[in-house]
Amino acid sequence: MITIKDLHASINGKAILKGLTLNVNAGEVHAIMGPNGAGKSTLASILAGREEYEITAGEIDFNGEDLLDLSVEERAREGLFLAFQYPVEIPGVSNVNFLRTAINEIRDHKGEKAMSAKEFMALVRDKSALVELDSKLASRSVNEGFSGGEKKRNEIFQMAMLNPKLAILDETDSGLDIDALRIVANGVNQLKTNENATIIITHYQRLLDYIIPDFVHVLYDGKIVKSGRKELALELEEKGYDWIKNNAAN
Amino acid sequence: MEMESVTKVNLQSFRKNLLPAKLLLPKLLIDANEKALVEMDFPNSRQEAWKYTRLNRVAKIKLESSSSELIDWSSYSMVKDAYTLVFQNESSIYCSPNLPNGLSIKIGSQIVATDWLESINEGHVAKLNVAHAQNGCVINVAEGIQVDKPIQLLFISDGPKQPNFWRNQIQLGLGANANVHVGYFSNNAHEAYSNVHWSVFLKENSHLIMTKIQNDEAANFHFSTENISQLKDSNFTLNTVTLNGAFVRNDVLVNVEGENCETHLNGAYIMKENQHVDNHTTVDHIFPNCNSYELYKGVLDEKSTAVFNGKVFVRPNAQKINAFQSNANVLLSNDATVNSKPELEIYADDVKCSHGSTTGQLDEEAVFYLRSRGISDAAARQMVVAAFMQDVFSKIVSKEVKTYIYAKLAKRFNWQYEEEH
Repeated sequence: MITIKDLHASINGKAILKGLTLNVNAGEVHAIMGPNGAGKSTLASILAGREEYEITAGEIDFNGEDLLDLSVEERAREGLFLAFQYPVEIPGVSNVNFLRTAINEIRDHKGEKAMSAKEFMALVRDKSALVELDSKLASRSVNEGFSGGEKKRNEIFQMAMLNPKLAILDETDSGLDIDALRIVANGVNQLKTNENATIIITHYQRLLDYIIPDFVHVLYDGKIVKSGRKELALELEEKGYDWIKNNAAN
Repeated sequence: MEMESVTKVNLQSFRKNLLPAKLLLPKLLIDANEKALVEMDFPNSRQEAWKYTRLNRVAKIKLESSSSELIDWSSYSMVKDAYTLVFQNESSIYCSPNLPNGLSIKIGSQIVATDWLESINEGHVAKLNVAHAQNGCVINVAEGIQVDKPIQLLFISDGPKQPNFWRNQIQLGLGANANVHVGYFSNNAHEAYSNVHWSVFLKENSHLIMTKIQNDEAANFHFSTENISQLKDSNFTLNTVTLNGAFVRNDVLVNVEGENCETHLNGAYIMKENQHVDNHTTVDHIFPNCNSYELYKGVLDEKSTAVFNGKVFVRPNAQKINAFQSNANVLLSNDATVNSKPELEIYADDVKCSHGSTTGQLDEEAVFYLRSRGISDAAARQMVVAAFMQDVFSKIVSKEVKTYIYAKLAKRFNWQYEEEH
């Protein structure tokens, strides 16, 4: 699905990623954990195509394409999805209106026919139910006046609508109460197939009680310093990140 | 002193090819107006009201009235079912037959001097209008009448260097209610000049919505003046939508002369190229217990410029006034400019007034968010900028006019709006 090789990236001359390597296959769920400032959100931003980062070395292959060569919208059309840590409020742009435009631009990119209004509305009903998002919210302005939990559910709703190959959840658990967390996780689990993959970026182990990862990686100082199975997350929860930091220092 | 005489020559030479007023106006008004006008000059940027709107381009135009062929006005029509009146240059070319009881429209030579109520004619724009008014209408809505369809007025300037001086008046009787759509257009209008004046009188408990669409061609100079007088319990809305035009100046003055009035001024301007739009508004609260709301929003691309100057006066006896004013702008290019100046002058102590003015770039975070869902950069920008303007358009009550505006925006800027349900 995606292969990141020796990725180095900096912002304003400051190196953030310092040789990150990661391989994610279809059907897998990977969790990337790490202390604050390790480069977790930088990785999500670079994958989504934020332009303020400078890639100084390394490469990213996304299903046979050079990801770094694609624009933000081309990445999305090729099946990459980022659930934002801080979803943006866009007053005046209706959630469903923009999603219909997005779906049809993606379809057009693939040479497929535009989705009919009827088909689209059925999909909205179906997918908003998946994340228990009030269909009224689905048709309101993008994230405007949404609670923190509603914004995160809206991210997963959009993910469900767009049906990406690779979803990157950037701190999706931050600011969620236990019920919202369960709803979000349930949505993600239901969307999982053998053809898609998920990268969960998180600081805490909490979300991983609900979405069971196949692999857990620890990101520290711009590199993956440790990888393991789901048990690694529990170990981190127990021992904290200092354990990793000390290991890395030695 | 010599400088001054030279510039005076400018205004007088600008007038040289203009015909004297054809409309029958009160003689006293004409005489006093002329006396003042010959002593006047085009204002320069040292005068506050023209600080950011230079008139040299206008002063240089050699206007010349020429005859033109009758145009098919139906392509300019904004709504289907309306009482419609159409002007092409100095001629009135259409008026709906069978006006309903209580609605009277006098046009051109039907208007007698005593039909004109006293109105404010300060400044060179309004004075030029008095001196050279060629055609126009006087609309009366009788006491208690609710006009069942909108009244639509289309003003079409046809031909290069064409001067147009239209003068109009509308009066709503006690408890009357009307919806007026005014459209300004031009055809083949290189260096054409339009000067339109409206005097609007709302009697007690009357209700008027005026929506003006300024959609002149990109080489037309347009000056629009609205003087409004509101009596007790009246409700007035003016929507000013500027979609095109080389140069547009709007002067709106609302005198709120009674208690319990509501005043709504909404403005939208979307400009590009070298276009210039200037909205000067004044709301003068003379009586207590009134509300006024003002919302002007604009999008400026390329080298276009905009001016907003909104004055609100609250006179000493005008207690319990709520006056809100907001002007917000988005600049789409580094070469576009906005000069925004809210001015509140409050002489009463028990009032709620606020104003806000913002000018900024497009929200890049919003653009990135939309792109990250697969939407192209261009479409994402159009969406965000169209959304920015939406709250002004949502103030326009007439669904048909809104549909008309959205269609124009889709054609000119590729903006897409969903019909509201």
